[in-house]
Amino acid sequence: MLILSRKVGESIRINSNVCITVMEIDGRNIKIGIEAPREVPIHREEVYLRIQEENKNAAQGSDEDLGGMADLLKKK
Amino acid sequence: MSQLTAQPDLPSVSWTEDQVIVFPAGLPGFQDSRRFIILSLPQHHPFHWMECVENRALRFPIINPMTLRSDYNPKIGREALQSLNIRAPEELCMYCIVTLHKPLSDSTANMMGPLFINIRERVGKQIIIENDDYSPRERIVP
Repeated sequence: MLILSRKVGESIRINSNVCITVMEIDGRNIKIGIEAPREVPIHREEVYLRIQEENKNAAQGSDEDLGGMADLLKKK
Repeated sequence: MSQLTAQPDLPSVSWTEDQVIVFPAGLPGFQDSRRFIILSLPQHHPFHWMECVENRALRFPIINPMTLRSDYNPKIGREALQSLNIRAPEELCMYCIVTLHKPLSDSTANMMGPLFINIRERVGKQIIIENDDYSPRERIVP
């Protein structure tokens, strides 16, 4: 992992089109500003990992179980 | 080429190119899977399968979240809709991926990462909601 030291107000540029700036430091909290093209998805890592994990869980379903689930919902 | 895994419980479904929905970025965890079709069978209603045509063994149960929660209203950025080139509300189709659990009554829908599809251009994206309004594991049966 590349590690760089930055002060508040200083930035890091990734490629020519992504710029990450340290905005504010308050104890253990750091506010980070990100400038990137619209099509670049930006997520907090833990949120992205939750979605990724849930997608992997969902890919395990069987035809029989989906039919059972449909029956369960119809009974409601 | 790797052999596709046979799915004994799934009849081989034929599809045409105009049914394919392209997810240019894939889905988190499946970045290389980009082309999907939606299979709607009466015995699965109101659920559907979203099946990858590049790898028929990869498929996700999906449901229109409004079927489960008529007040479902995820806050998403304008950029997300723009990236899908949505021009009118009727072009947008929304689904949530379902995780089937045992017992089935514990099954959940991922309302934090809904699928947004532009049905005119047949292009889609899984959008991650960056707030705590919805969970990736919302119970389907309350």
